[in-house]
Amino acid sequence: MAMSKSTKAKFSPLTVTLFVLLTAYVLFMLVLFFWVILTASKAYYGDYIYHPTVGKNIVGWPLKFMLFENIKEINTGFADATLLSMAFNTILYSGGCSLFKVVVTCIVAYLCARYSNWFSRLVYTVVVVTMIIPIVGSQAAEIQMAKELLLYDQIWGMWLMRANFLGMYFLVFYSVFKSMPVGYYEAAKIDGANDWKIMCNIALPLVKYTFLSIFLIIFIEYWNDYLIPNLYLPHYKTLSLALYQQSRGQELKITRLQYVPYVMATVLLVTIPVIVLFCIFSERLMGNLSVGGLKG
Amino acid sequence: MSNAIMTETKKKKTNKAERRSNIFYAALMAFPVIQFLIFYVGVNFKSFGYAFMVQEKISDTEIVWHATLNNFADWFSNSTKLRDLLATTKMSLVYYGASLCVSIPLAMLFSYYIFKKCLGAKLFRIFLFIPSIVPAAAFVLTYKIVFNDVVPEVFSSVSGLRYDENQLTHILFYNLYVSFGTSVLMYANKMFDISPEIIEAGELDGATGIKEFWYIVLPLTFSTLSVFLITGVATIFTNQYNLFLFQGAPEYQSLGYYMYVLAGATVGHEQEIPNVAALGMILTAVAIPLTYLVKYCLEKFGPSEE
Repeated sequence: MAMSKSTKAKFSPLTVTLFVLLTAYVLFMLVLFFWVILTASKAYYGDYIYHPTVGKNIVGWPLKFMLFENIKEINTGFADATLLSMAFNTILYSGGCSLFKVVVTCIVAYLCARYSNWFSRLVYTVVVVTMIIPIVGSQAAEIQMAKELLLYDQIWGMWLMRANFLGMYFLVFYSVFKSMPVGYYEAAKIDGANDWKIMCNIALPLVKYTFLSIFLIIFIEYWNDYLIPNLYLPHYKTLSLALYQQSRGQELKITRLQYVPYVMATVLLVTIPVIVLFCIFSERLMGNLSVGGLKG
Repeated sequence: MSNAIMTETKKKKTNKAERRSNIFYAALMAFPVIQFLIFYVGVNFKSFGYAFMVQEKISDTEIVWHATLNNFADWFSNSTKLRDLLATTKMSLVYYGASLCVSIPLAMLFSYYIFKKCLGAKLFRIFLFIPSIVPAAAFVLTYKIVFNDVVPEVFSSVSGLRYDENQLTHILFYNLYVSFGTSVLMYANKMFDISPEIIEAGELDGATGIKEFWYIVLPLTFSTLSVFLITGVATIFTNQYNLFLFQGAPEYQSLGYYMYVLAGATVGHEQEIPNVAALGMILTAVAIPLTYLVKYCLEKFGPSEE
């Protein structure tokens, strides 16, 4: 990533056009974000609409800073859950699913990379083939299977169902383990370390940053997920799903919560944790994940 | 004699160590393999089985299942289902086309901008990634409200900007806007692997700007691009394009969203599953050869890194 003379910026019509496009992209996002903060801080009646002097105050500054009052109302406004219980469900769902998924993927990738046998090759092939072959429409059968195995509408059930080694992150872990010098393992073996110790004390510590990066990416994916909880966890409302239901006026004890300032306050509540995570771990999240090609 | 004993002892030790290794391997592989057998192989077999069955209710307590091919035929003979299927297929192709023709080329160009480390490249890299971490529920709702409430307020003289007036354009634009995160990251990371000597040699030969991008950077990034193109075929059948949140008109449904709605409707109605499973099989039968065709074409006609 070291900058050389040849890759330094050179302004051409192409780069200037791209600069304009990208600047517009950033400005649009900043305007959206700024508007969310302003709107979440307004009262609905008497500010967002029916402002005493301007009529509607959709784009102006809030008449009075109401963000915390709005949040307080949201906390008690859902029919069967509080903000705290929804946040707890979201953490259980996203934390558990991502942890199970990453641990399983990491261990299977390690086994395949370290132990070259026919089964490891088979597992590798299965991962690549399932990435290339799209199987569509098995969700209905999966729901049925979850019901039969008593995993439906259980958070731990979702953990088990998501604890698979399939997907791109297997290839990422696999390439990291494959690139490790075999000498590390051999030296540890000569020193009397068994397979378990080699894995726990030598291999896994070397991939801790990759592990953290992938865990964070998957955690955020699950944090943002509303489709799966909507189908599989009807009794565990997560924040993203609650936001959707709030905007539709569903499952609300206080019906005015579906109005824009309240919805924007929930938007802030759902978004701030992932933005904070991103600010802390941005380099990890955007680090050197790369994919070379698909064989098979 | 003593050598033979030593060799024998060594062999025994190796065998013991190998056995331990095998036990360790099997113990750690057991859970992932069982999980895969149940939730991938089992689920897909179950779905396959459902596609060929129909439920018959004998009485309030007795239900029997029969083998049938009608679930497949129904999708082509029932005019309502066929119309829905064709409409959603058409929309999926529109969304995929937009992604293929606009999103992927733009993502490549943005990555090139980042690779060239032009003005603000680091900042743009971060902002392009942000939509991948912001919850779609938050982003889509904000987008919809902004275009329904704020934009008409600010640009009152311009008509047709409201989301409700022009849903398809907005759905396409939004999905384009949020599509750059992972792809730009991957393409740019691959571009950084290009040797500076190659770029310098190209510059000496007069390859700058578009020429440099087209003749040097694109071929050398093609292996990563091809991964997105190959796996992207599946999105025609699975991507929901945030339509659940957009709550757009029914004519803008994609296949992925349609399948999600159908799957949701089976909760508590097992008799509906064969219908969905049969459609899933029909789509899979189209998706697999299509994916392999794209893969074959990319390998045969795509640029070489050599």
